[in-house]
Amino acid sequence: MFRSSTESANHVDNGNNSQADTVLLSADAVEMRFASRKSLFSRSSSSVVAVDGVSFTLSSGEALGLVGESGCGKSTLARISAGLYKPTSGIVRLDGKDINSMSRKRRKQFHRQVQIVFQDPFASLDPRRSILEIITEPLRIHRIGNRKSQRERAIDLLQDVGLDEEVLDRLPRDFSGGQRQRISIARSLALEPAVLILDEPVSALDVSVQAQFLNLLQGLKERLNVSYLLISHDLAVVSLVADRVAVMYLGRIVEVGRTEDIFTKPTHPYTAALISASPERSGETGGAKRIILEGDPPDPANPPSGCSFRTRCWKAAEKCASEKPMLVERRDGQASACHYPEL
Amino acid sequence: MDPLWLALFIAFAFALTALLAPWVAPYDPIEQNLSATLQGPSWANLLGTDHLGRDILSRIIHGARPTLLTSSIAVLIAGSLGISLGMISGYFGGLADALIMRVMDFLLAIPAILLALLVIVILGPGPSSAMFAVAVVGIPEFARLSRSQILSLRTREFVLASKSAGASTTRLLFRVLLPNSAGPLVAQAIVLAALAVFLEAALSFLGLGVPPPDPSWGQMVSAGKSYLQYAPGYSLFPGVAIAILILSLDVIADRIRLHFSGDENSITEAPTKAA
Repeated sequence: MFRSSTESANHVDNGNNSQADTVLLSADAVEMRFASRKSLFSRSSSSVVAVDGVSFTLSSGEALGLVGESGCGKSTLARISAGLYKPTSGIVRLDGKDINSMSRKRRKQFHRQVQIVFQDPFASLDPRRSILEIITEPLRIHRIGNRKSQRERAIDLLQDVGLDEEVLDRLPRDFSGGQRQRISIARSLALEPAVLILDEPVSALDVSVQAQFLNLLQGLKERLNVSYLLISHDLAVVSLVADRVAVMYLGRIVEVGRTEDIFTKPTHPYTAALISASPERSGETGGAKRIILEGDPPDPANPPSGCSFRTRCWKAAEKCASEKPMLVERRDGQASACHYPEL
Repeated sequence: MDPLWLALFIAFAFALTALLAPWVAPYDPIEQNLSATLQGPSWANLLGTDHLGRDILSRIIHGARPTLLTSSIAVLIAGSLGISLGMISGYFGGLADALIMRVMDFLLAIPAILLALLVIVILGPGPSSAMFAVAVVGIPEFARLSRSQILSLRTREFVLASKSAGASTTRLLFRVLLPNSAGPLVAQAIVLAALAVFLEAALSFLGLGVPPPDPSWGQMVSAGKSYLQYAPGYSLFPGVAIAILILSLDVIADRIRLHFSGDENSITEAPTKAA
């Protein structure tokens, strides 16, 4: 329908396979700064940089995972990519065009192509509306079809996510978290988007339900050829669905590459620490010892100079305090931001 | 028995009586009978007569009309203006929010009766001025309520979901945010209705409402002042009518508020069905 192809963008820095992939969604040095007054009485305001110069590309049919601790800026980045927030600097592009300088009409088209699924299943459905109304709302907004065809489409979508037609006339409060997330996915697929952004989609679900849900995601991706930007703090979740993974720390991407490469040969110490902390995965780094990071993540309003990870890094040296490391390609398709990467 | 039922019954009875006054009232409210003035309750006049021999019961029944009219119209005006201002304030923030809220704060700082009087002074006395006066009194609370509802709802994920599906601002405001704020706003409408009854009575008492000979409760209370010793019913009966109506409306408003604050819109609500 509207999946237009575009020339491959120049993406040397973030390990993308440049074999004629069509880049759908991209971020270019996106920064999001929130200003906050220090106290009721102070006149000056400190700012929190939630997203600090992030760039990524998402190609057609690809699943990009974004991992990091709570507070690293991944949700903010997700919302910026979905067009819900306007970044304080930097550009988000769909099919090469800046989404924040689009006309209202073009912007509406953008929303047809990029959809988002949120973390909290109990807050993401309008409690006063029936499931039918919720799922068909995007169709009504863009005036697609009539009541009858919309209802039929809703039934198809429910089938895609494994729910029965009788769900349509009920209210959200009748459903469990797992069911609600399925409904959210059904809604997000209504417009046949090219890109689906999933912000911690399984974090609020029981572990047993998580696996089912991820299988569903995997199946949908293959069948419908949707691209995913999958955000999670859980490596296991991301490793199941993502083709490539980007690791975030305090608003910056510290490493990015293909999923297998990241998990077997991480070059950034933070990535290594994350992997060793994840019970399922630590075997893959050749039985390396468990890395325990000291200290807490620094205050985003007052980040360390140079490399923001240096306060918890066992390799930290002088250079790390004075110079901010840039994302540099290490091996084919893998890049990290570290002065002393593990190669 | 649950007082809510009694309150509802009274409120409906009042509304019905006001609407059907000419058919319900035993006598013509302005028909004078100078040979039977200031009579106490009797079989002929259930609540007695006033200083011009007019039947008090019929006057109370007809007097419900300006009360109903003023409350309804005032609530309608205050509601639509107040809620709109609150939505603009809450959704757009910034300068608009600051300006609107300062004006609302100013209005709220003035006691209701004084504010109503101020409006009457500007518009001149009369029933329509009374409606506007009460409306002005009611606007700020509606604005504040709807603003706070919008503020708390606009970052909820289901609102963001609609936004990310391409919903226009108008759609977000009227189809998503407003319906989800409805509860407390309905309660406030009834609270304002009760206040409207009181204010209208107060204004009529001061002679600034419905002009004679048409009856209105506040005006009857005022006229009866001079005869409290001989015919207390003249002031008392309309006064009791005012009190009972206000009380009933407040009971209803309270119940509505209670119902909506145990929030069905709460995010932490447990599902009623197992997975």
